[in-house]
Amino acid sequence: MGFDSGTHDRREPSVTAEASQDCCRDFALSRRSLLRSAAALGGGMAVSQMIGDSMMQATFAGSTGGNTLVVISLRGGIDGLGVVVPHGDPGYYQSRPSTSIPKASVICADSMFGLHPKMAPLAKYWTSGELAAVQAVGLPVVNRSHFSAIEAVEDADPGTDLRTGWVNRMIGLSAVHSTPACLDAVQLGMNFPTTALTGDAETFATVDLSGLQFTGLETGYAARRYASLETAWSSATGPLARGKAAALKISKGPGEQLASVKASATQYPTEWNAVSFAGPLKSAAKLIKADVGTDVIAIDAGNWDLHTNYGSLTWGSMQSNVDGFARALAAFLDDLGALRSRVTVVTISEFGRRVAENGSQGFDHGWGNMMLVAGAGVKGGRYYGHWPRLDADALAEGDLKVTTDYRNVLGEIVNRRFPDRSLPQIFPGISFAPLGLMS
Amino acid sequence: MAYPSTPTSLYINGYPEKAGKLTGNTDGAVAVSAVINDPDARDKVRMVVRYSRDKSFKTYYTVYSAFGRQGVRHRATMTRLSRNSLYYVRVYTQQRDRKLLSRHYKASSFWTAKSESESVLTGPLVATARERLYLNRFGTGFTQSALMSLRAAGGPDEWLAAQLNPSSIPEAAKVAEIDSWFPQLFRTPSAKYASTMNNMGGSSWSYGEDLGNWTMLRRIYSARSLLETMTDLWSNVMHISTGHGSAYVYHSDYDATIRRHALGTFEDLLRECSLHPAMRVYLDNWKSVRNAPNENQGRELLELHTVGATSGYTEAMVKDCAKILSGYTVDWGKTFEASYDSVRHTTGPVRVLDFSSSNSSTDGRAVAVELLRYLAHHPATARRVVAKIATFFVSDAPSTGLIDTLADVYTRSGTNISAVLTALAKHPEFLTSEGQKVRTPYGDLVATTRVLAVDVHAPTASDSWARSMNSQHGGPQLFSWPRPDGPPLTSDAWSSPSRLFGSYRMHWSLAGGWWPTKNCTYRKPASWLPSSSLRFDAYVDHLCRLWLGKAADARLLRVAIEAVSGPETWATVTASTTITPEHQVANWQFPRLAIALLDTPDHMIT
Repeated sequence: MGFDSGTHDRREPSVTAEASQDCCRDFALSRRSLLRSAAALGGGMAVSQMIGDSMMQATFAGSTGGNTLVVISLRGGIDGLGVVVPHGDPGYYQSRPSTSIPKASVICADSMFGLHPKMAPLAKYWTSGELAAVQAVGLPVVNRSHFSAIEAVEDADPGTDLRTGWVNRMIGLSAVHSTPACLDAVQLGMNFPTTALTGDAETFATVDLSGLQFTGLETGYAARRYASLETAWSSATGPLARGKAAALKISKGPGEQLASVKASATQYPTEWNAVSFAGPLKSAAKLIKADVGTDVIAIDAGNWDLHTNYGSLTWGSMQSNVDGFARALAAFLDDLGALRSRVTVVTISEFGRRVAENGSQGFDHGWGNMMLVAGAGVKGGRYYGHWPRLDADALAEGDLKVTTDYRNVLGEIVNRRFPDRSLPQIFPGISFAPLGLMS
Repeated sequence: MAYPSTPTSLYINGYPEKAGKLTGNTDGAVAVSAVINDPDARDKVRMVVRYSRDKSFKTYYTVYSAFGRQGVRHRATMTRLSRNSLYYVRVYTQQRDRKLLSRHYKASSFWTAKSESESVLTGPLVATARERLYLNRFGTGFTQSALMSLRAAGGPDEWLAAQLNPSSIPEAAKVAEIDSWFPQLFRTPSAKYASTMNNMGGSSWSYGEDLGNWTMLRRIYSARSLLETMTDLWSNVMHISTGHGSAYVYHSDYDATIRRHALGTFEDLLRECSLHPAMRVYLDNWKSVRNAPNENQGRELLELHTVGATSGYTEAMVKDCAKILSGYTVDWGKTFEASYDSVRHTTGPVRVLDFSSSNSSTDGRAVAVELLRYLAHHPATARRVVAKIATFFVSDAPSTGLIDTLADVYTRSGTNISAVLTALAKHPEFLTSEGQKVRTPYGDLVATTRVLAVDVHAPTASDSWARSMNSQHGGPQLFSWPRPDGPPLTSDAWSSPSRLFGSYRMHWSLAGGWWPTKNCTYRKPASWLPSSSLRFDAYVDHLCRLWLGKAADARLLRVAIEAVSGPETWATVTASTTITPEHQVANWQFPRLAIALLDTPDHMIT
């Protein structure tokens, strides 16, 4: 496509990193520009899936003082083998002559696996037993299309045409809801919800938590402002009237609460490679502290679709992305402090990447991936999953096989942290075989 | 002996008279006021108002103001007026002690209302529901001047007919000015590409951001508003994302192509858009090589742009469609010119639904054009295209009957878009659809800027008003939807709580002139007063007519009273409170009154 990968602007890696991969160009760039404007004012649109380099959070409301699940979707198909490195499998070094992580460089290692060294900010959580990793996990059937794999992952209900998300089904099963109920699902970092949030239960999407109140509420004016709005919309019907009613409840309640949460003392990273994670994670921490009854927060992060410009240990997009992600996540866990006892974090991605390098020392779309799980209830400091190995005959068309359905991991987490929710209704059609990563 | 001077600044019924008469009708007792002048300031003066239906004033009534100081406004009320009559008015100054009348009078005239149901207050025009509908749906938002243009054309149908022929409407001079504000949009593809490579003067997303700003400015100021509205719709149907890493170099020309064909035939529009270099690049057709055509555009042409996924085409047909399209390419990285490369064209028999061809020539352009014509005229395309038109203009769920009617017009007229719009405008489902369409954040920003009459000037910085629009509306950047299917056309997609927070912030920001502040002029609050003294209910009614196209009903009056009145002694405001330029609602509290009227279904839903 004419982009010279050596001259790309460091501040906007996706512009050149993704541009040469036609299938993924839209995917990476569009989200950035969407966020750019959305970040200025928390505008809204309740529509479906966003892809690319951005953060989305969805929160699911429930009882205050309860548990919270943070789902981080790593968009673009993160290279799981590059994060949870199978240094003990010779197939890894054979397939990746230019991009592999040297055995001596991995951290938090056991005899088979280790983490990318840029995961170092999270190492203390590994050691303390609050961080675990799962390998060879993903969709049960291979799907290498961004659009349809994301739908499949988030819908989590194969075999029906009905388009609802697993998170939306999970909210629907809650006995207790927030006020207003749309805070059962709040999307942060973006102003519309993903497929995971789509469904009958109301959800809420917003770029951040700062603008969740009506204008004109300065001292002395709140009562007359609310009264005037009430009169204006008193006989209105239709979707905007409903949206306004929900906005009113947010403005009067949680919007107020959130605006008054003290700024965090924790330093979140501000560098360009971390900012797309750090912003929404910072909002997530604020939302958890505000304790408005949020059950799940979902964040959509990153630009992991590295067909080219993947790099190696010391240069390239992969190490830079991992670095930004790890520092932002570490800051988030630090920020939570004692609240970590109520918060569990899990990462998801639509597919992993091919085992072998492609012609541009990058990786095309693959299948098996890794998931990270951190926080409350996690039996950390260990690697989970059933490793199918990387021998040529063990691969599925050049991809790492999936030996654990991702819904088993999500299901086990949901079951342990939200035991009141019926798993078969959230993830229909799967017989659960938990890996035992949660206590 | 010094005569008192002629009165000045004559107001009748709360509105200033212009050119010796008042437009609109009055009813009942009519207030009259004027500034009374007398150079001999020692004497008290009063206003003398003579009024008659007889232009020569052989007989007339007289009313007086109380004697008072000179140089201030005096008031009186004309009574005993007959209906449906033209009255002439002569206003004099009279001295008390000397009893001298001014040598000259201030003249005016006014009509009284025909019947009791006619509007009580004169002044800004009240639109009928149909006029509002046309201006808000076909146009880019009701304004008084748009309404006057519509009436000057002869009415809604005549206005629509003229709008369907944009070259018959003299374009606002501002539109050419706006072009000059964005020279970067008119660079050649190679210049745009070069500017992003060395990161000087542009990046791919900044071109997209400015295309959005430029577009919204046109929607605010253009006289050819239907053309802008249809360009909006077709940009959605034939969407190209401004987030795309390559298409940006061609996007401005693509936009111009849409505008050129927006009111012609869908056949022409489809062909020109499908084969445009921007689309070749966006949907990867330019990379097709012989015997390995890229399927992206082949699929989306069928699924999104024409017949749709349920029309029965198979995967083999998608591949054949891709074969037909192969060959259209661009010289990326060098000249960026669009060309046809026979070497890239895959030959061999092809079949797409009922279209088939031997496709034996390596120059496949004739086959491609034939396929596009076939698809444009296909009945499934007819239904899908008119369904989008109906959803855009009427409601989220247009009836099968309406779609049937419009599809029939589409087909019989040879895919003529203007014919479809003309039929739509006559359809009862459209005519009764007021209240069905939620404005998008973009439409809301455009409409709000129009009614608040913000004057935008040439930008000098990236935070100038003209370049900040894409950050102001609170939604995703215009044209940035990341998928080829384009953003939703339904109301519910734009109705989330976040949308409300965003649009309310935008209304507040514009009502107060808080932001953006660079290179723009906001009207001063006092300039919204129709006279220097009037009742609050008359003031609210005036604003509702200007901004909402309707008179203030009891609800809107209450909305306004509740927004500005309060427990403080100075904050008592009722319907009859006299408002002058010194009153808080006409100066520092004006933004609160403004948002009370804009944060409403009346403004945000059409």
